[in-house]
Amino acid sequence: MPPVTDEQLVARINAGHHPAAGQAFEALYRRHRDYVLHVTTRFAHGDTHLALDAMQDTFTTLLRQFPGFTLTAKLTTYLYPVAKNATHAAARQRRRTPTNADAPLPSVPAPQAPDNPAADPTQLDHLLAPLSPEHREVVLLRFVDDMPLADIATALDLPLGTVKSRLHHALTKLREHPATKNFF
Amino acid sequence: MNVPPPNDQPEPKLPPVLQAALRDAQPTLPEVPPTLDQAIVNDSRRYLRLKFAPRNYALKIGLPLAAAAAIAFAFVLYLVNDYAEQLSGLSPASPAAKQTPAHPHPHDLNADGTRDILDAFALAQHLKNPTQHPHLANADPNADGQTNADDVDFLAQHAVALR
Repeated sequence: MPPVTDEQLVARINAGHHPAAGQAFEALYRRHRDYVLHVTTRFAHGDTHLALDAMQDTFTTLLRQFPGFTLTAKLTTYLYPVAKNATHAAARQRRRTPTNADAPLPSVPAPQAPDNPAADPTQLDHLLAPLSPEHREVVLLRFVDDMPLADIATALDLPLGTVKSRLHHALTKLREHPATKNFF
Repeated sequence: MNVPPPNDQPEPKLPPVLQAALRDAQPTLPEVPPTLDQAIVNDSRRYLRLKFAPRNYALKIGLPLAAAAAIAFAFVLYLVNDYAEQLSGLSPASPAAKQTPAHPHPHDLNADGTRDILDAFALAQHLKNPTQHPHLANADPNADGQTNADDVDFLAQHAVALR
């Protein structure tokens, strides 16, 4: 039996039958939770609580689109900008309320040691140092997230040519930079 | 300013070693507390139930309202009909209505309120000695267009439940 597609789950939610709609949304959440968390963690720069808050806000935003939400592209291309904006909004909210910024959420456990010892955000910053945020974003989407160029264009709301151009210039800079030129 | 590469230029590729290094440098995903999972799921169910509830409320409230309106309409019709009958003197409460039923059963030829063998006797007697009784003069229980002995047999057989 083939797995239920995102389109079918969205249709079930739009149908609004109880409890099928809730179960369909839960299925969407379980399917895309880690992807959204991956995006929010990237933009939260290691702030676990911020990433989790933004992840929750992302799915709240998605939920508020129902009924009437239609998928015109992959759900991940819709979720990417939502997760990115939710992280930025949560970060701004933290800055406006500095007294609560360091208070841990009661339900969130202490951050654990990374499973992958090689994972090092400073290493990522070092490798991508020559790139502007726009170029860095396109490189990560294409070569880390394996997102096709057309989907990147949709997710970033950019023309496909602009995405190609950014990728082209990003690689040119990486090819010339001392930290990365040896990889080429 | 970004300058798009020529269209015939192939999509740029990152050296596999650098691509692997970038992937290795990705931050590890934080563990999602089960309570947060459950909170998101519960919130979504609550939201969807409320969001789609108006249609359910329309059914729950609309159906009883429609039934109540139908009952009220029937009651008004009954009152209007009863009032009209009282005006025409044919109300069940009127003595005249009791004496001469507006619509006696066609087989109750002697107009005694029951359909039995006495109706067959009454018709037989009428055939033998014709009377001006309206029920008997126009009686045609077997609906063959004639008033004769066949009608008597028809009534008798019905009275003893042979038909």
